[in-house]
Amino acid sequence: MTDTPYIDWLELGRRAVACRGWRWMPGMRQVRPCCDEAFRVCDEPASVDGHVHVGGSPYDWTLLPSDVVPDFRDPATLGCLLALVREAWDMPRIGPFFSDGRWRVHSPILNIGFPIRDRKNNTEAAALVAALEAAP
Amino acid sequence: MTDQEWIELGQRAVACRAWRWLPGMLAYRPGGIWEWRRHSVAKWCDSLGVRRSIPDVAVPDLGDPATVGCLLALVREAWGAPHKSVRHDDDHAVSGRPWVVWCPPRWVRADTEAAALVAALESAP
Repeated sequence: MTDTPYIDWLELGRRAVACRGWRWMPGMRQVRPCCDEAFRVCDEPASVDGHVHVGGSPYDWTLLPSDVVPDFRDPATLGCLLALVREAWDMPRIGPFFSDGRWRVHSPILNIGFPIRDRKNNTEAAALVAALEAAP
Repeated sequence: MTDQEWIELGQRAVACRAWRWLPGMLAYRPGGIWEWRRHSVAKWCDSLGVRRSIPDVAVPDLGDPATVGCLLALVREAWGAPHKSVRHDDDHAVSGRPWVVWCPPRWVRADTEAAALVAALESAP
């Protein structure tokens, strides 16, 4: 996954944020590419009126910049993305797996797969974002 | 799973040789009310502020999606297998242990996703 260019990770994050099933969850890492800033969503509620709790004190909330994206290189953020996919599909047992050189998201019930838009970006995160985009 | 079973599962995870706290993980003290989120490599945060450490008895909250994502990362690291994943096998749902992880030369099975990952971490070489 580390072979994926940084710009592709940013694009993947933007696509995820645009999904109807998207929301910020505690534990997610946020990056702001314009100024190389990073935050960690620390507490519930993860987001209120465009602000996120980034820890430090009860008052340590920050207005979420419009250009902030999730960092899917981060394992905690990836775990949250999987939770969002399961929620969006209402399938708590859905999950990604690697087979024949490709990441796929597989449901044992419906046997569905989601095409990864960018074949070069063949990552677990890309498969999960594709699944989130395809959610009903 | 009962609260006690979640605590014991967390204790098994922490006892693994390959265990470490990763940024994003959620920890709690068994029987307590406080939770701490690993903010960065050297920092934890809770609703009151930032701290450098948490109690030694703290265990990971393996019901937290971010923490489970980190646990999967530890399993992959311990096995040197970046493509390893945990799957639900409906064919074994009746056995009560449908969550599986391939840990050569066998499948590790458990009743929950988190328990399968902990078992995979325990059996890492």
